[in-house]
Amino acid sequence: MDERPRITKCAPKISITAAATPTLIYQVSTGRTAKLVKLIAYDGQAADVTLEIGTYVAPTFTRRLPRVHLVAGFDYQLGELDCPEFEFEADIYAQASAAGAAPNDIEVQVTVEEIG
Amino acid sequence: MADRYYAKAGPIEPIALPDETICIWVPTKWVAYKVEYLEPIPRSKPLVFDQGAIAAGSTSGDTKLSNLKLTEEPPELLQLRFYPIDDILVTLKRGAADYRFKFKERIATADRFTLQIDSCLHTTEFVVLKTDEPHVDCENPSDYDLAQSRVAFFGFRCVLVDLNRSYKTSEEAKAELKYVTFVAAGGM
Repeated sequence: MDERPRITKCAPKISITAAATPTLIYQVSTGRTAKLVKLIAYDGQAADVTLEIGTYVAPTFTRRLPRVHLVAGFDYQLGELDCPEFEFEADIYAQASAAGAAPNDIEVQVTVEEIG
Repeated sequence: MADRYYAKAGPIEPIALPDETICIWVPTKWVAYKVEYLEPIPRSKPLVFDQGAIAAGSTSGDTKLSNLKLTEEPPELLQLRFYPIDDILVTLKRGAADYRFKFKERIATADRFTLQIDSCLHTTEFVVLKTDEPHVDCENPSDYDLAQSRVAFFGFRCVLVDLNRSYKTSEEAKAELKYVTFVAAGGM
């Protein structure tokens, strides 16, 4: 059991508007790490897309969770019980296989637990 | 041996009861007072101080907590614990200049993790005497702007009687007063 103290933080809603482009979805506070605990995403594209969550040090995006399949026009929700507790030591990014300007964007919002 | 002392672990307890004697460190001596009156101060809205919006990685700057103002005559003392409500690092000062929770090269702060490690908050306990209203400086440690930066306080207020005695050492005070509680109000 991980008994380290942690606080829950919610990131602002982010729009991914370009395909295969890492987009910052949560900035981890300096001196802390973060575990993703909740995620909601919406596919505004006319076709299904693949969403990836990971870290990014230009030019390399590293996927930290398995890819997620988003169905066109539907939302996807990953809850606390099901979310892998990968511990991010850097900011969290997402990228989608296809995206466009709103309303064809991919919306993503996450809740994390910061550990410090 | 006094059974009461400052920053005792567990739920907050008054440092002394009415008619008991305390010695407060006022640089550079122990000054003796008798507690005349004591009342608890609950955590409540007037004691939640909001330093306002703080940009990512910035600080609020020193803010005097005027609601905690005390009277000089009769001398009053506040014994308080505190915790931040928002994700901030709180630096506490007695008056405008005396940092609390300090050691040689660093100043300790209280943050939202403090309450989880120290659920009774005894490590945040501090005492202020008379006109030394506490000041806080709040830092936003995150990469996101904060709309508010609240810190909540609770504890006890004592009204004192100045015994007009001071001592260079705790040993001297103990020898004369016998039963006395030593209170670190800062300045050491």
